[in-house]
Amino acid sequence: MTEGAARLRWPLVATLFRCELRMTLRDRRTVLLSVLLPLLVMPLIFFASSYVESARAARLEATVYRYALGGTEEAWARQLVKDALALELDDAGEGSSQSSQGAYHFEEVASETPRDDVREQRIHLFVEGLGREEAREHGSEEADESETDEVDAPQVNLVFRADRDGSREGMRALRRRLVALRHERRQEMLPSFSEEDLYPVEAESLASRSQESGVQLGRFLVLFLVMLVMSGGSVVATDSIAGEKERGSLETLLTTACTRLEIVAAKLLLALAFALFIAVSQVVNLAVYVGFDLFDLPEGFLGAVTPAVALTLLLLLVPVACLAAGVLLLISGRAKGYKEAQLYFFPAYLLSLLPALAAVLPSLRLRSAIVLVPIANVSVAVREILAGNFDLPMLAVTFLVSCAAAGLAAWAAVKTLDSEHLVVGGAVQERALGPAALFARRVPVIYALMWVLILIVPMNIDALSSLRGQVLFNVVLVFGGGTLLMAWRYRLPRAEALSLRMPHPLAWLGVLLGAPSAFVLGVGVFHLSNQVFPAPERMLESMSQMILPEELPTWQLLVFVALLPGIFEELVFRGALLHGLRTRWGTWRGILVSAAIFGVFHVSLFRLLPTAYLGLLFGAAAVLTGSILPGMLWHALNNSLPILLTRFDLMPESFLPWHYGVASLGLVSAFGFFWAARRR
Amino acid sequence: MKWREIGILYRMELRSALRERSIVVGSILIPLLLYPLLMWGIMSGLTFVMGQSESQVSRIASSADVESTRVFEALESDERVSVEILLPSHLDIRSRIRSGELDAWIELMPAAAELSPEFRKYHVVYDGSKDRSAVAETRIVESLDSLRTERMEDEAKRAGLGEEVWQQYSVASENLASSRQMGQFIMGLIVPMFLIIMVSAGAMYPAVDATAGERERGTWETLVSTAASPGSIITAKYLYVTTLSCAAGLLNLFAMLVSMRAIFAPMLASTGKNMEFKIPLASIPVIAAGALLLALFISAGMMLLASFARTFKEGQSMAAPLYVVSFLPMLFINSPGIVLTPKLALVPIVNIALVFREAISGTFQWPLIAVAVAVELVLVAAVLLLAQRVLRFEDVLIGSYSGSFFRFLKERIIRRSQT
Amino acid sequence: MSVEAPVVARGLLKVFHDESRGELRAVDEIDFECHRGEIFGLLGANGAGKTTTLRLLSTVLKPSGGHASVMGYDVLESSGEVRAHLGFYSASTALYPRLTARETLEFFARINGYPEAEIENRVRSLVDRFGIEEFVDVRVDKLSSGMKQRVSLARTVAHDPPVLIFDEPTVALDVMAAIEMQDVIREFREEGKTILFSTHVMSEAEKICDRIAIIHRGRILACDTLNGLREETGKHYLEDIFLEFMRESHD
Repeated sequence: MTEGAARLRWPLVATLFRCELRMTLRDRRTVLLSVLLPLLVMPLIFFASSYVESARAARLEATVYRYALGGTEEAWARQLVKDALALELDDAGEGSSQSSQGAYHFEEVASETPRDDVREQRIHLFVEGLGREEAREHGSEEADESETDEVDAPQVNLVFRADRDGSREGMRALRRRLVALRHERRQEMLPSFSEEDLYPVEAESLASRSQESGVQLGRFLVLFLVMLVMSGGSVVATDSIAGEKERGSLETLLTTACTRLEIVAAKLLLALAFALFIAVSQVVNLAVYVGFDLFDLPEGFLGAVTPAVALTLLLLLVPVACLAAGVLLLISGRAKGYKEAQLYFFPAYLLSLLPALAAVLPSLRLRSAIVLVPIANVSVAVREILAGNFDLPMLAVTFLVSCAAAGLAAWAAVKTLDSEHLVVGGAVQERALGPAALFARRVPVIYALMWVLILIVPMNIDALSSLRGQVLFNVVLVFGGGTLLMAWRYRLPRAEALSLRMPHPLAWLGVLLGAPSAFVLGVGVFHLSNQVFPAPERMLESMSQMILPEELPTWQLLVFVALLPGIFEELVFRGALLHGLRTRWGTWRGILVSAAIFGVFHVSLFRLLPTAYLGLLFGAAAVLTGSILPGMLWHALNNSLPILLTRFDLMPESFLPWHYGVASLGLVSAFGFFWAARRR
Repeated sequence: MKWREIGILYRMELRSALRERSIVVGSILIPLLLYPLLMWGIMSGLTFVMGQSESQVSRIASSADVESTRVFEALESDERVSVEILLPSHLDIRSRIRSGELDAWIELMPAAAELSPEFRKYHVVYDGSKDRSAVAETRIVESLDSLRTERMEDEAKRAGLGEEVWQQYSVASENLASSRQMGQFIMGLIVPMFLIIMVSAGAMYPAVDATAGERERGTWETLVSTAASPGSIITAKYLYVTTLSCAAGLLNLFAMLVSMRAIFAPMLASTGKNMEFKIPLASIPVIAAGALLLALFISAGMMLLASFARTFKEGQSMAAPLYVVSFLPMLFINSPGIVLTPKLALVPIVNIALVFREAISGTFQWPLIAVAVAVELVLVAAVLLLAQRVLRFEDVLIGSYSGSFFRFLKERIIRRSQT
Repeated sequence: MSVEAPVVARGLLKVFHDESRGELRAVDEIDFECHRGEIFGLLGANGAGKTTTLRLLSTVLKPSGGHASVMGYDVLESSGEVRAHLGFYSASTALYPRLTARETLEFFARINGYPEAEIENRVRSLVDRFGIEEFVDVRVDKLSSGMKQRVSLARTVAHDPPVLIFDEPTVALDVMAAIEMQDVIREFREEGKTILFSTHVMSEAEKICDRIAIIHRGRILACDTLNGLREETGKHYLEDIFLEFMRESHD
């Protein structure tokens, strides 16, 4: 593109921008919809949430909590509850109204079948007094958290329904009172020794009040910005390329003396101006409501916003707004018309909110790989800045990455105007595509559907939720059946598309060498991945129980975990998928993308990298040898190794560095064999 | 009414809708793919956070005089905490906490050095703006709390109070709600909101496309010029929009439930909270009927608003306010504990939402449900009546009237009723 | 440069790639040139390659091979200059609905680099000439189609370009409007502009074109004055001449 290199002529861009702005402003309905509506809705949402909260508090305070007494120690329990209710305590907490001082009203009622009455919501609570023996039997199920040791004592058991607001809140209030009562009585037993004097502690936070509240706001600031820019700019951006394309005025514009770069620049400025205007008006709107005391900012928040902080925030947020506007224009440019652009908008909107949520994750620091992820880096950076933490080099990187991403999005939007079939329209018709090209085009959607199937179906059907059921459904039915269906529908040739053919004999040698080596290195990859995505213990346990259940005999495990996946996963991933991706993306990108998809198909975040690593090896082997048969054997061997090692207690706790060294050599030589056996 | 004619027109509308990419993608493919994807994303994020905080050890430094106390012992025995002893050169420690190298610092206050360490004041320094540091502070405070309890027990023993006397009693709680009821409780908070938004969003595209879109494409006149009566054409279109809107709502509901069961339930189970996301069979017809009623109302409203537009885009901005109006009331009932009362049964949309919520947990207050249905039916009838009056004007019917619904109301209906 | 004709195409080629059908040569190495003060007609059926040719000249599309230039500027190397020197009119180049007629003219004069100081005068003269005085401050979306057409024509020449391209300008017009259009185009010729005009209507080409190129499947079958074409084929009506060439090309 020769024009692209030309510099922007700002007077022209300004003329274009003014014209576009004028037209947008004249579209009164759009302006009303995208500016006024959010201005009205946002405070309404705030108001609704505070209303809902106070209404609930009022409701809970107004409720008369009806409880029944029972159990072997009923009389004792009655006295205890009576004493507990006599304590002067505020049950409602902060939401209490002044008249009642926040104490809940409890009322005892007689009941023959107290448990059923709780179940049927005729009463809120059933207070059961249990003697020592019974208490021991009953155990301390969901007991108060301070009950650490099991002491022989009578028990007050509060029977309630957690799915009923009144019952749950009444139980909480009563339990709080009972614990407080016990505390008070203990203090009376030791009048000379006060618990308050023990281990007094004074905690000092180095962060100022404003910084602490700044962090809370900082978690959501970028999220709000992206939401506002995307939703506010969308109408304008959608209209400005896709809409113009539909109305034909884009072609008029393309025949004038201004370049495509200038056109996109003006449109980007317009979307940006609109989005920023909406963002600013929302802030002003909020300020007005704060000014009228309709709702409160976090305490001392304004103290955190010094001029330096404000400037840095601005420097970081503007590129993010540019990026969002660029993405919107890109969508608009890719679409053939207004409606199509709208269709792409919603998923793009949700996807761009995901990185903006990065700051919500606790303990994610800017000084990590996140600094390279656009939007997510600014999200985290904003939180750190509001906490008073200026990590200048990292902020500089963040700024540069954001600018680069914004530039890239804008550049891609310029390229969409270059793309000829969008201007000419319909030169590529899907119906006219041959089956092979059509297959390559549809691969992403087909695999997305398969992913959803294996994610959703087995867990919804009890019969399929066991390991065997899952393997039979996912691996045999979805993968195997899916491959057959694709092969039939798109007439995929067996040898070329599925790589189902005999490899050179040397390939088998490569597999025998590669399988143990790759397994050892795979353990290393798992440890590395655990640094990036640490897995919670409990989840790892339930996962290994799921994958290697102890009750299955070894031969069944080998069939279901090694043999069947070895055959069918190779067919569907290194056969059909790799073939489809290669046609469109080229060999190396095809291998990489298919490996990533293979990882994603293993659903769990902790298995993503280890399985993607295996996918990479199998994919490379399949491409080199021109056959998926070595991959099948390799896959099956790889999955058998942990089963056999665990069953015979040979699984080493960890591998030593030299193990990894030898394994790397083994893997390299395995690929040496594949290279020798490669298909020319 | 010529039902045969309406049937033909209805089938034609439905068939061409199912062939349109944007309808198929927007109302079938996106919900089916988006819910699993979103929930999977959320679940991965949550497990990531869980894993991260589990693997995170609080790095606490203490002054040398703390080392001999039980506090140090307690902290050291906590495997989530690592303690090291540092010389209290204040500035350095503070800047290390500020930079995140260290999470917290604990020392004994210099005053009252003659007291035994259990009565001396502990000074904890941390950074409240850092999650990790705040967690470290919480862990210190927790271990001091349990030390205090232990110490009180020791004291009680010394005073000759038996363990049982000291304990007095224990407090336990027992939740009678089954895991299924808990699941229904959670669903009751989320599902009605989604269902209403989805019915409304599902009506938007077909309602605008069937009115303003037709006019833009020029197919409106083709239709009006056929032998079919305008009444049949509009009835068929109305039925078609309602069908799509209702289907969108129910399809979304289905995709959501199925995704919740497959993704959230196992995750909750692995953290020890069992929830089953199942709705009672009996509630399905009630929910379907409610969705249909809503769809009837929203479709009529949106078509009425959008029929004054000349282009698809214009139609969208005309119909959008109804979309917002349809889910705003939901914000006010999004709280546990709100149940269907006779008063609330009279509030449109909210009453249906509450019927949904109660149906999900298997509660059916039939008289109130009847009231809610009646209110919605009256509403639908009112909109249809209005539509009928509007369509009596020929210029609106053939699309030569230019102006919005509200201008029309002002000019034609209100003025007329005054005279 | 002054010796070269205002519009020149040499071996101009445009290939569309289609994933299944392979290459589609929409414009297949055509040569032609148009002279100052003439109306050069491109005559062909739908899909013959007329619009693609004109889009190549107006740089909306980039040629796959060959050269073309407008006022001596190459369409690839100095596309901006090319567009600054031509006015492009087609049934699909729409106006901005929410600008007034005056704003439209000002905008297009400015964006095409017309001297800032003279824009006001230019717009005034355009308004006079095309008779849009009455509705000059009315928004375009409120105008009738006849009014829109006049504004659209004025828009095309807002920056007084030496070369004008009309891509099937009469395709959606009624008789009166089409005649008005033809008159305007002829007036432009009198002013010394170079005009490219594409149509599939024989009578129209017969009536106003000085030279006619018959285009079919991306190739120019013949290019001459009407009389020249008559002599070559021995037929009188353009329709017959056209059919004659089509027949020849199929043989």
